[in-house]
Amino acid sequence: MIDYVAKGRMLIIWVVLVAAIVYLGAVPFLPVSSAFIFYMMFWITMASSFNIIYGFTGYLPFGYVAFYGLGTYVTAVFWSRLGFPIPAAILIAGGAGVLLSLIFAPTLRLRGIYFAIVNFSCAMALRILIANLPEKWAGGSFGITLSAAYKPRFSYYCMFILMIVTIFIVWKLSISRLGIALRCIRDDYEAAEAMGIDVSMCRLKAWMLAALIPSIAGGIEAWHTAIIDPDTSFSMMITTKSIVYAMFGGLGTITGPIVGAVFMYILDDLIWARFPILNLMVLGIFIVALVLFFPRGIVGSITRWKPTLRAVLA
Amino acid sequence: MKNLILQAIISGILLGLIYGLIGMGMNIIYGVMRVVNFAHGEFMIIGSYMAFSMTRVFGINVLESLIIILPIFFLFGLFIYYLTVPRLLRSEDPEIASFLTFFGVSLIITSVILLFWGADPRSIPFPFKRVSFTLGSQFIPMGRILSGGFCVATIVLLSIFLFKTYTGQAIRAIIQNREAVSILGIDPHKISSIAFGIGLFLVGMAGVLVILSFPAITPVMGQSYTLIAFIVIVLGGLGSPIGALLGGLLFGLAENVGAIFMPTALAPVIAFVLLIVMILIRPQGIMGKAIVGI
Amino acid sequence: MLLEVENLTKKFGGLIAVDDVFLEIRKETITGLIGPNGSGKTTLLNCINGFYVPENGTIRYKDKLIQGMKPHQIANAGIGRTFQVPRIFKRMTIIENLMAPVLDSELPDSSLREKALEYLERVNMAELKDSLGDELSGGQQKLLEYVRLLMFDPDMVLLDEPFSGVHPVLKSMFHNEILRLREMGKTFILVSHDLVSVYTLSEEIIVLDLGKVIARGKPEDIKYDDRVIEAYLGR
Repeated sequence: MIDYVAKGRMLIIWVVLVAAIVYLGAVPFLPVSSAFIFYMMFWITMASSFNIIYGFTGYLPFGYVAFYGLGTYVTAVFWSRLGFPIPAAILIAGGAGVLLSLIFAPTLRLRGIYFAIVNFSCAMALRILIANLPEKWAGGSFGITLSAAYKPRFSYYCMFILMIVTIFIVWKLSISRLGIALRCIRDDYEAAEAMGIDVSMCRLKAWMLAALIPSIAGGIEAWHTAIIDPDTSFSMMITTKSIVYAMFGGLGTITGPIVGAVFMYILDDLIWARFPILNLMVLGIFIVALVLFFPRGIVGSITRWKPTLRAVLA
Repeated sequence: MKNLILQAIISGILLGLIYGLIGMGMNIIYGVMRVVNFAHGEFMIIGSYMAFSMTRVFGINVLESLIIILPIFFLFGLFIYYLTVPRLLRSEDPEIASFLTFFGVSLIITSVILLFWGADPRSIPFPFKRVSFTLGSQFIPMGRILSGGFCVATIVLLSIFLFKTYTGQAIRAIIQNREAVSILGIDPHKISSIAFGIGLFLVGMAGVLVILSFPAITPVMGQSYTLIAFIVIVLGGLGSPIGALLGGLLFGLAENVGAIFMPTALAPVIAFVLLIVMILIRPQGIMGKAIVGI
Repeated sequence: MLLEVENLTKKFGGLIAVDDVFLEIRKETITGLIGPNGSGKTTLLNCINGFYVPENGTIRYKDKLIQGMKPHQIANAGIGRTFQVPRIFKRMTIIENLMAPVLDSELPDSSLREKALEYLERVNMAELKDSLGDELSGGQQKLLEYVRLLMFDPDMVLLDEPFSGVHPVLKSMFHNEILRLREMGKTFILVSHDLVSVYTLSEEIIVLDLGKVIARGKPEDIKYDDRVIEAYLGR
């Protein structure tokens, strides 16, 4: 017997997916703000990659901004000081992010809140270090401008591709054996070890992957805004929003961070435009309410309520 | 040079006492209920801002404002406790949930500060005539001596409370063994709420005292103090109030002695180096129990 | 000998949890490990499966030194274990729980899933395959841990309190299964407070008290050993 319900669901998903891709691909030629859509894709990418390390593996990197910030700086420095073309500089930024993740790797021995605190401190240390580099290298507190490289349409499509690749990676991961191993580590790392899962190797892979994506995203974003400085590159808000958006949609699911990022980004944008100071307060209240009353997020709650949808949404 | 180092050691200890106070507040809260108060630094500077307004409105000096601020902070701690913690403890991962919740609270407090006091730095003039004190060849700012004295007094009183009173002993019992407490018939909610109140009491105290050393306050300073609190408790050991005091002193000394040898802006890096060394050689901190995974 | 433990010592600060223990376990046997609370039974299991690194002594499995190896390496060498309180993966589906021990298998996912379903059917849990771990009852969690062990299929199994909090019907099923698996060539170390089960199932019994082996022998000898009775009933 053919399961028509399941077939129908798959069809709907494919239609939505193709429509979304066609629309996003056409945005630069449509009369909509492509900067708005650019940042929406940026946040989908950030929330999804954050999901790899927190949603799947259970490590909360509260200094997640470090990878993004390093990405912006490596891209800017390699382009402006060393004369690399922007795309090459962005790829180097990705490599630098992975390198940084290896430097931070020993902290993965710490668990839970301890890891979060230490990771946060590491990100702060990196920020102080970069802000204090000589001005002729990293621009000091004024930062670096990339206006001569400004090509919004190119950077838009780079982000578009990165987002699709990221979602594809998360999807592949969630159905792969590595994905199962990571979730075992999240739920009970000792039991995972007793099952023969190489915990340190698996979580290192997730960690490197979760570092690679925001570093590249940082590079593309630096290209898009054409100016960077220590305050914006290492803003706590990057970490915060990655967490909140992913959580609002539902951690540990593929669609959760996407839904969360789209919804919350639009909401954030509306509030930000109307009440700049209240924005911070609303975000704060949102986080508190989310953690206390809605910890599974939208997708997490739906699948709990209707487990058959798990195959489609998660 | 020798003089310079001596000077740095003295101010390192005096500031380290304040850092210790910040860390002790955070560690009592963490030790008793496994709640990581990410808003610790924001609570602290709201104390500074309250002292600022009181000196303006009532014309009292900074130290006198403590009489009003400390009870408010204690009661506020009880209030926040009952508002959030019982619910947090029921969630899947209470530590992470509390961490995120109090991060949200820190954003709320920052926006409240921005609404009430604005984004510009505020400063409080030093309230006493005598601005420094001579000890041998050393000039020590009067503000630091005063704040150091208050810190020592607070720490002594806190130790008496923790070791000699029933409630204090119950707090230490919970820190040492969470399961045993319910068997002993201690009401964990009552003890935890008092611990939260004390945690905020200490950080309110630190917020007022720190003005005597650094008179300028801005809304974004909260996060730096939270970071200091984190480093202090990791150095001292998560959950140990005495460890936090030692961690604070270590941090204060490292920061001030380090500042002699490198540019001031880079001095915080010393603290991070200290943190990383500590994680590598003794991840549980000076006084902590082992909490490391693999 | 399948497993040889010599001079094994594990300390926690000043406390000696396992004190100079010797063990020799032959293939296809069931060895009972009993002793009062805090006598070091679980610590001994944790040393064998690599959770703890002992201060002193050697552990040989199939004539290969395994102490100092990581837990996952020891698991992949063929030593499996269960836990006092079932440790299933709570936010994963039951099928995913069963995939966990066979992630390095060369078989394709589809045939592994089929095998998992087959085992689930045997314990009447097939319809729960897409539920999450924390949606199961205590007894079902115990069963899941057992089925996960079947999927894992290790040569040697360390059972930590398999009968605690288990319904009598389920308990007799576990008895039969342990005996059946032993016939198939598996070797067991059985830690339990359920002395009747240990006496019926084991060929040899080892009694621990305060980290030391105070008696070892056949069940009928151990049953009436004064030192054992003393250790259990107090001095």
